[in-house]
Amino acid sequence: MNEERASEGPPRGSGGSGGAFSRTEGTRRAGRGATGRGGASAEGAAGGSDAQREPREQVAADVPVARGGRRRVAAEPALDVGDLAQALQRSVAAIGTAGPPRAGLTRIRRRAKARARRRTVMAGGAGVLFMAMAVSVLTGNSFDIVPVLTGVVGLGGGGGGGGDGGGAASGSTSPAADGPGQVRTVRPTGGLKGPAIGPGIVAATPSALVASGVGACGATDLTTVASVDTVIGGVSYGHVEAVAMRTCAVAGPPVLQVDNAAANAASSVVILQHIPSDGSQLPQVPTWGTVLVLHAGQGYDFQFAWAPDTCPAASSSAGPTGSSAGSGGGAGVAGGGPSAVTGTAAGSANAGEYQLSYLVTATSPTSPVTLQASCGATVYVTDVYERGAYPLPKPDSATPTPPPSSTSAAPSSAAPPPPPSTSAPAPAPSSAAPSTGTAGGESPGAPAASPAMGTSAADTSTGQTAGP
Amino acid sequence: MATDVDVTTDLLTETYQRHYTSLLRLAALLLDDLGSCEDVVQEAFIRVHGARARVREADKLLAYLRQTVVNLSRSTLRRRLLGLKLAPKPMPDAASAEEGAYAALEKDALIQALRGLQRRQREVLVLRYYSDMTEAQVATALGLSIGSVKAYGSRGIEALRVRLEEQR
Repeated sequence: MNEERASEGPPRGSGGSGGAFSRTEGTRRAGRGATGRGGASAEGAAGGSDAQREPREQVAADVPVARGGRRRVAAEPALDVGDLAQALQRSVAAIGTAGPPRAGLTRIRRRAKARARRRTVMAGGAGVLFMAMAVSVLTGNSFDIVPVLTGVVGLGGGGGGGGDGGGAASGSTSPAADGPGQVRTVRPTGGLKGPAIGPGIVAATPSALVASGVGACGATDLTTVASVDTVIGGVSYGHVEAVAMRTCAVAGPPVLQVDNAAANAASSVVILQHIPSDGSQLPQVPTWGTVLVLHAGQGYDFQFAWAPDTCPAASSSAGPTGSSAGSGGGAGVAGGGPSAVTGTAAGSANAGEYQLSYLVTATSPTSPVTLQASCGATVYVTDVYERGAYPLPKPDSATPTPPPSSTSAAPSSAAPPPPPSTSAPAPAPSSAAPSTGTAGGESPGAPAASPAMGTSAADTSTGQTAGP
Repeated sequence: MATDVDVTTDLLTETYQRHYTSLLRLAALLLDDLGSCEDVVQEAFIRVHGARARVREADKLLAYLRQTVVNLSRSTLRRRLLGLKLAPKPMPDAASAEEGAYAALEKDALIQALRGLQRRQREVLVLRYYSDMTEAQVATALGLSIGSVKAYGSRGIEALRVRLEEQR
């Protein structure tokens, strides 16, 4: 129907949009009702010069020009632009008569927000990826970006000494825990009390090193010796000495990793920056995140304090609850820790035993020391400093504590030193958890060998996340 | 700050209420199926929602929406040209109420003639005469010079006339 209207538009259109029509027909004023006068409108090429106010007019004026170019059309009826407008309106008048969909705006908002969120995530991920790539390019091979990526993407998992045969709930792993049973941390800011700040922050270390102009120290460039020196008031104090074998640079703060056989270190051990008010007797190293450039033979130190947490009073009843080996991890995470710790039972009696190792490049562990804690622990750590710049803490009184283990061995997961349970005066009955273990012997290196109940009991007893 | 957001949100709501239909019709003139039209208009509003902090005037908002509708329609046609030519998009279920209107549109000779035009010509004509934009506005929206808009417009009208005449 609109066909006629469009083609024979002028007669009808004269009613609706007479103004436009008459203007366009200004080329031939008399022709309002007469459409078929192609010849008349052809002469409108000249009439088009009466440029009136509306730009629409000019198009209309152009039409005859074009037509003039094409003689063929000269006899066609004129198409009035005023009617074209009306005809277009009429053609689509039936569309959308119901008005905008009621839920449309809500849907639009929701999608826009979802898209913005997605864009933010993508941009953030791309930015981090770019940074990581740039850093890895700048620092050569000394920096492994894989933990950064896994941390960012939230995949978790890819920890260092993965000896766990049990099913790690990788889906629920939060970036805080690098893997089952590990705390690979340390970039806690002052006063922050929480498990493992993710490896994404660890990535900052190499970028700080770039400014030094010297390659970062790798594990092979250093001879590191970690030792526990003394125990004061139940707190074990130790330090790590590292000597460079070639010129390289190292950035603080040191990155520590804590493992234990029960694989719940991530939820039970907290690593914090040493501050004067934390009560430890570590020296006050003013820097945090310094960069040291070492030449061959030079070295650096840092100190740490291992403060076992006091067990809850009712921990003696932890035995029966640990009978479900699979759910031990869930029970062990009390303080908001990630539930990455599944009940991979390690039927060892060394449930209170932790291996603390120093990661030189934030990825490769070196020379673990073994420490004891029945119910979790807090680690305080200083920044790195030049060798011997600060004294080691000395026991005040006659504390009968011979310095226990000092190992500089390779980072094997077993590392079973003689159980120093007697030397580490844990305040709680540290033998409570092991006593329920089925394997009475000491088999620290066999995590999944005997899925006994004892470890789950240890989970619940040691899993009470570190108190303040 | 909060009031700004409120204002722009209200502006968006108002624009949606007032101009959704006209934008849908604009898309219907540029495209050839109603399902795509609704998608295009909705997408345009989603994009405007994302940019609403930058666009705070109703006129500019509408211009932005129109331009987005034109661009998206163009992309849709191009995409269809590339791959979906073989499979025309089915009508969405929800648009059953619009099916009558759409069928009428399909039979409309003017619409058919319009679809036979070159894309640029069609865009210029629709924006110029349906949306009643000035040549300068059309030029801005399409990224053309005013002279090009004039040329496309005149040739478009000419071609439209020829097509309508042929259909008779």
